[in-house]
Amino acid sequence: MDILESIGSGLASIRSHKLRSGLTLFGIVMGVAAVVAMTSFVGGIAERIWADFDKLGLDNVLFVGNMQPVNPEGYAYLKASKGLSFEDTEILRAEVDEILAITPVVADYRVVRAGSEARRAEIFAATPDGFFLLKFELGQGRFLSDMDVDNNARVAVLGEIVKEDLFGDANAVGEDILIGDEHFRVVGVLRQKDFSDMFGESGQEENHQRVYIPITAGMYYISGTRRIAYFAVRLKSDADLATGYDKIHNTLLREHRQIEDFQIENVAEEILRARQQVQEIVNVWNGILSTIATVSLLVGGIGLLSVLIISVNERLREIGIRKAVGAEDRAIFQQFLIESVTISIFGGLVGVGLGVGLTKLMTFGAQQMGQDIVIPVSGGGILLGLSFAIGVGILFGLYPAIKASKLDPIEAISRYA
Amino acid sequence: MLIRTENVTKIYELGAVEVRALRGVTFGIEEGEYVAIMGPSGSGKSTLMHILGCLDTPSTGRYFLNGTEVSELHGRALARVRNQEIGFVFQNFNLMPRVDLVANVALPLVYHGGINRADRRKQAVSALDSVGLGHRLKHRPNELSGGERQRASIARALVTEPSILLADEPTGNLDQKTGREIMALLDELSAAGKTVILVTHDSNVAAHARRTVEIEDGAIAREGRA
Ligand SMILES: Nc1ncnc2c1ncn2[C@@H]1O[C@H](COP(=O)(O)OP(=O)(O)OP(=O)(O)O)[C@@H](O)[C@H]1O
Ligand SMILES: [Mg+2]
Repeated sequence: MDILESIGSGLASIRSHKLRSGLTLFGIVMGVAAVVAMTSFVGGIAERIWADFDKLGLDNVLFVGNMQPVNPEGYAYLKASKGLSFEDTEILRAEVDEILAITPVVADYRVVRAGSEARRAEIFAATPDGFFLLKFELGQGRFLSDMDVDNNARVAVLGEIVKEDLFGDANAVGEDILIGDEHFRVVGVLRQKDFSDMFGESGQEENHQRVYIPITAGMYYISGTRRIAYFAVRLKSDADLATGYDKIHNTLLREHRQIEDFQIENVAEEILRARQQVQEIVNVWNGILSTIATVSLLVGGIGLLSVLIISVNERLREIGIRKAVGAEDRAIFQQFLIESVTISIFGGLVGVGLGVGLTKLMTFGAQQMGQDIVIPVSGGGILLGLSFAIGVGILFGLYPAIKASKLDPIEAISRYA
Repeated sequence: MLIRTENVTKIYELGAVEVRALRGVTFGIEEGEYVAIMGPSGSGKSTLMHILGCLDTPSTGRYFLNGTEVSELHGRALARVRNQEIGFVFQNFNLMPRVDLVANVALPLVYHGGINRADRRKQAVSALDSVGLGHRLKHRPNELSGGERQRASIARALVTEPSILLADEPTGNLDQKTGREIMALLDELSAAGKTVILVTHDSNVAAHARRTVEIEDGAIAREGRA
């Protein structure tokens, strides 16, 4: 028996028993559709959230700030140390291998003017590492450079909101601004990032209300000291979190004569925990998904089994004839197994179609509700669904196929009423 | 000797009851013989034919076909003998209802192995031609008369060019005139050198054969030659 003929025979059996096949296929169709739709849904949402986390740019990031005194004794204690200084940057960079990037930050508020427009803004002085470290994106022009830092250059990168306020739609790059009484030249403008609803604006407001200048210019024109407000640090990986944290802590203690005049805000840890929570939710959904899929595929499989047994019984004479003219057991076995798999693949394909439709419907529904979300159809889900269907076809086709192949030719022919 | 049986028995166990369908059949058939097996209903004729056709195996005793002891064969080997050495014609035709005559007749070639679809069809068409059904190729069995169906089943039995043609009451379901036509076809095949063994109740049918074997109660009672 040709494979093609067996496939044809499977399709013919679907065609000639539409209702029965439809009922049988229902379970497989629903199971596969559930796999495709749920995999796409869970995968799509999770992808979106992971992308937001990446964009947020706070993975493996620590902030090291100055400790604020809470009472007179604390004040006296802290006076014995100089606090965080520009020089600490290089010491930390040299001693803590886990550090990927570090920037000192000096910040204060000034009035910023461009032509006739003016507003108050936070002046944020850092090194070029800061942009990379906080994963800022550039809209126009360029970021600050190491040369700007070395030369004390009076150049600035504007947050997008500041740029809007001062320049409107006009070009800002290359233009002069006044920060307090000092002239600075705009070399770049940041770009706001798109976040999904779950993360909202996610600190964008703050980032884009700022004017970024080189740390050296900041110390010179803004703070007037070599003390800095805080460090932003990015560690190389989340595996370095604990050791990196400890090393930074110990190095600073040593440098500051064992006076703990700083505090480390462990943002990385919070992000890590948030990611784990999302992962747990994804795992729960995947569990629900597998249960639904397994149950409906089992139901489909049992339906398939019963249809195949009926089919074998209806076709005893055919089986007997085939054996009488020389079909080996194996040929009959193959024929019925291929039929079973053909039926289940057919159901699987219909299920994939339904699952893809459901996924598109979810995107459509979300957009109708004003959510700017596209749930991509998961190729992995389609593959998984189809392999499930094929698995069901093989598993539940096995018994009827064996039963058919073991029939005695004469008995099979004569048992036919 | 083409066929030789030695003390072949067939015992069916139905729960506690034993049905002894064959009680020790020993006989031989030469290549090219034309043999009619006769006997009353329930005497074991079909049982013997099934064993000769390798559709069933003896309970005890030995069966040699073309020098091979087929009573020792099982599974694949037996399927091969059925496919290549034997053409079996049933009283009720046993054609597959859902496919046309060409597909029905080509069926044994499907299991022959190594013959492509086009060649299978070609051989099936020529077998149908040889039994006078060249004009009914695309018909399904239920669109044919009984005689035509039996011709088709003879074509199917011949398509692998087996050495033996076995026919269990080939005219049993046919009217007299059609039965005579079928017998004329078997006579032709015998004349062309094919070994033909048939079962019949009808002495007119048996008269076509050159040798008769009478079975009674599972054993050979008489033999005769025309
Ligand atoms: N599968 C079976 N199980 C049990 N008994 C059987 C089976 N097949 C045949 N028999 C019995 O074996 C005996 C011989 O049967 P068989 O069919 O060979 O007779 P027959 O000579 O062909 O009869 P008929 O002329 O009616 O076709 C009968 O008693 C029958 O009931
Ligand atoms: Mg009989």
